[in-house]
Amino acid sequence: MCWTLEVGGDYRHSQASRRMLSGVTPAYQGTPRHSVLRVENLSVDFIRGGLGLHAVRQLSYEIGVGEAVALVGESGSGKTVSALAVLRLLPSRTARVSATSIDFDGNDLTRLADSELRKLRGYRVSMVFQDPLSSLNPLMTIGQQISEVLTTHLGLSDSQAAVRTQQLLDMVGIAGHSRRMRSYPHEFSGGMRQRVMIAMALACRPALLIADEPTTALDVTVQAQIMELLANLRKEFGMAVLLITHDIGIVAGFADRTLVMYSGRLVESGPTENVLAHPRHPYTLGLLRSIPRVDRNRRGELPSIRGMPPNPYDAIPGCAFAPRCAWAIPQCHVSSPALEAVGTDWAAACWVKPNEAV
Amino acid sequence: MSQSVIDEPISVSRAQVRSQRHNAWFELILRSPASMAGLLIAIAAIGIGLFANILAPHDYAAVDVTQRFLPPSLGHPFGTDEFGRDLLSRVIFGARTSLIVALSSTLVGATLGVVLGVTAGYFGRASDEAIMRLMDIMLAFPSIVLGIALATVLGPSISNLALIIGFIQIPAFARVARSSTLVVKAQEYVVAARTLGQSNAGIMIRHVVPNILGPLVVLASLTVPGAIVTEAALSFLGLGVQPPTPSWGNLVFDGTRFIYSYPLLVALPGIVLSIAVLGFNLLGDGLRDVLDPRSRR
Repeated sequence: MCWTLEVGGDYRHSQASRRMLSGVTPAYQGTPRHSVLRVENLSVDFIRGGLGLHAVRQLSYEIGVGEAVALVGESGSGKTVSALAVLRLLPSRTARVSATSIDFDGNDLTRLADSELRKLRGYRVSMVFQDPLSSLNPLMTIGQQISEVLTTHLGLSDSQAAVRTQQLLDMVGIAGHSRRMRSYPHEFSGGMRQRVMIAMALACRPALLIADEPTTALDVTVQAQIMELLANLRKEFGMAVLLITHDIGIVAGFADRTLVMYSGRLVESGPTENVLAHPRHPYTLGLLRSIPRVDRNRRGELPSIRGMPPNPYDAIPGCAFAPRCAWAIPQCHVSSPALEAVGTDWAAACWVKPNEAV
Repeated sequence: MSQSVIDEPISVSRAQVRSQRHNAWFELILRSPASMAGLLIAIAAIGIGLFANILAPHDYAAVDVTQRFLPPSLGHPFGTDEFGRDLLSRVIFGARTSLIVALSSTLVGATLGVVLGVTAGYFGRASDEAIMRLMDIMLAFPSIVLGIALATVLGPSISNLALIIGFIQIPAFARVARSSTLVVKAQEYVVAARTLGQSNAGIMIRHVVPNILGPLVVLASLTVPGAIVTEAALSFLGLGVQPPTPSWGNLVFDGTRFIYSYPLLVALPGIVLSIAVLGFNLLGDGLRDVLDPRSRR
């Protein structure tokens, strides 16, 4: 994969990254040359009553050091499952995960021992979840929950961890630390809880943060605050972010690159401005056209993608989107298109690749 | 970073929230006369057991053959038994024995049951099958039969009795702990803790166990009366507390020999036993209503 200069270029002057805990995160320098995460041919099947449900099919992607990547798709397209599979957090009883390789930070996660992987989770790679209320233990104070991450990974004493916890709360914009540290999650608002989750996830300054729909449970103004916080912290830490979302609105201002998933497959990937302005896959086009806009179609009907996503139990010979696609040609129903380059660092998995305005 | 977005400070202090929460619990107990009565009886029973040596008017073991089978009087409110011992003092000291056995056996059963149940629920699969089938085997024996068998092997003593009754209670606690663990295990904060690199043991101790305590407290309070009855049954059969140490069970047993001539010797310890069991049951029901949001109206 070749990197364009503008990708992640705005971190070059990050002063903050030099103030980081020494040895925890290597200071970020210039344009990314290495990837922090490289996933090759990831497939996830859920076994249920003898039937295999294909949740993720042959997914490959790469996230550069310090890069923000958005993973977009509708519910059930395999976004979250693919992220959980990378961290081996899926239940081994039902999920069959296979991948050629999952390279994170020089470790092959498909082969790493459980105990080694546990040391990476929360330390080099962290995750923020959708619902900040259910992601916090209702019976532990905010301070205890943040300190737990610090004592686990950095081996800090309780008093050292308390000092760091105050700094972390400061970092995510929660004032009045000593009292807040002794608060329980139910005493916090949704936005503050999500800030606490972010503080926990970033406690050890990870190289990669996976944010799984971090703003879905929050209202719109708080959404904007949280996205701004994530963007600022990303700059400060030189940290890569994988943003999983179905909200294309928050992608535009945040992500360097956008990956679009449909029915467990990657259908388009490229620089965010290209993918959102001139999508080359009919599904991306359909997604963008179905966003309500004040400047257009004010009286008309909101366009939608006709039909339903395919049944994930079915084996699909051709393109999974073909039955719903206005551009489908006979070939689409027979063989599945591979990702083909349509520009610099930009690819779409489509036989037709229509070139239409959104 | 930008300081533009700072949430409003919360207006209610933690202490206020705390006291409100506690008031709400306490009010729910107070509002139900049955659970309030249960709470008072339980406190009274434990108090009597704790302060038996102060409360008892006579020495429970003092034999006086001239004072046999006295009817209730001011000097001996419950009368005396076949050796002339004061029955009230024996019932008061019996409370101590019975409650020691009941509470410590519940502690033993709850501890082992929770360890097994949480392990089974958290790890699932083979460990779940192994542990829970073992629990099923234990449940297949009627508890009294199991108790008799174990008491015969181990020999009768108060500590053995506590261990035996605790052992009998293990499956009940294991089942409740396992099913609650299955619920808590699927909560996002457990997934989040795993994502942040917590070990399985750490997650079980810090995240799972505290969150399943509610149903376990209810079960424990409902197990105590069962343990009192089991202790009484084993002591009644001569396999429990040995004379001259009184327990509610062996007091009833001793009384049965004179049931036709002096029925009060059975009736009085029996009534006290029944009231204590009723009290703990009412308390357990009350706690279930308070701690289980689903049963709240």
